[in-house]
Amino acid sequence: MEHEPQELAWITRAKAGDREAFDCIVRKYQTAVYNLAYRMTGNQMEAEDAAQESFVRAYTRLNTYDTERKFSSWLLSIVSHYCIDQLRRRKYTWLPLDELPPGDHPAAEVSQQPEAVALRREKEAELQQLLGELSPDYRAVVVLYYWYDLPCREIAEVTNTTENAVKSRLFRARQTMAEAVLAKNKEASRANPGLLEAIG
Amino acid sequence: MDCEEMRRMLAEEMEGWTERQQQEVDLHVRLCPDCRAYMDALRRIDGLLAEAPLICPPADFAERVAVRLDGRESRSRTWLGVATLSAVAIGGVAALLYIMGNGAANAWQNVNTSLLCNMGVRFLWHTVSLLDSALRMAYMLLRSLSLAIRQPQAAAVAAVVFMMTLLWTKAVMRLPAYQSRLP
Repeated sequence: MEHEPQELAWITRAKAGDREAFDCIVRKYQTAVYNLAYRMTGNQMEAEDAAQESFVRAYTRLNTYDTERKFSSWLLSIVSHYCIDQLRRRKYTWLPLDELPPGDHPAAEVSQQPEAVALRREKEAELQQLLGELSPDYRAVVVLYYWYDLPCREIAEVTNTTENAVKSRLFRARQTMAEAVLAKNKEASRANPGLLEAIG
Repeated sequence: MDCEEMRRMLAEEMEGWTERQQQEVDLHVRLCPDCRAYMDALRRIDGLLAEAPLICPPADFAERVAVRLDGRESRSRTWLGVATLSAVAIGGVAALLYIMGNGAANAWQNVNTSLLCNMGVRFLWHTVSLLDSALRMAYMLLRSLSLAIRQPQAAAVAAVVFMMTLLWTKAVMRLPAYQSRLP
């Protein structure tokens, strides 16, 4: 596995206890780690806690990191396993519809019309609701596939499973989410029977 | 192809179909409104996932990780200190009790055998041992105080261990069985 020379230097120094080098690693991967944690847990506070804890675990387990492996896969594996464990411990596995924190909004949103902002938030809420339909294992695979563009082979490495299992989870996750969308549409048409006709 | 197979094929599609598969899908969904709705639902999901932005962490995230790491390291140092201190205290108490018990037992044996001179020398030796233990405990106390300034949790644990040691020693020394065996 080829590493960026700078990254490899940071890892080597961090393994020897250099906190500044580890800080560089944190800064490089914080968005990837936080985003995965946010999509897995569905709310800002839990995501931040999970992301921080994952970095702490990564630091304390750096000696077990094999440089033959891709560092990002190793790190994301820690995050996804931590989040899956946390979600399994929750009494309920639904995701709260968290308001997006101010820092999460893309810069473009500032100049957007209120309608566009409202639409984006509505879509975000719908997405979080759909992810909430999935079990933690399936959710991790969906997030890694769609947000990180990882190939199934690498997702298998991150989630500690086989490539076929990843494909099967993706398929079942899409099925579950599609059924949820259909059920929601059916409910909406029952609530507003004239709406679909008016549109149609 | 029936609806179940078609839906399976739709959900499995991740990287496009062949031309023939595409024609098959087009034909089926044109005639089947349920499968068309299913395909639309999948397209909506793909659209939502593709449009969703990467969520950025708070601006001071890296600093917060550093603070958490500091806390973890400090906690592990505290527990290491507490464990060492407790081990030393327990070892000291065990040694003290052993010496005192040995002294009493030997004294009793010596009385029985009427070797009073020998007993005197032994008693002196055990007194020196007791003093040695007391000095070690004093040293331990000083270390506890020094640690207490830096680590209050460690100080609390050390205080409890010390008090228990004192009470235990007092209780043992007041036992009639022990008293009666003293020379």
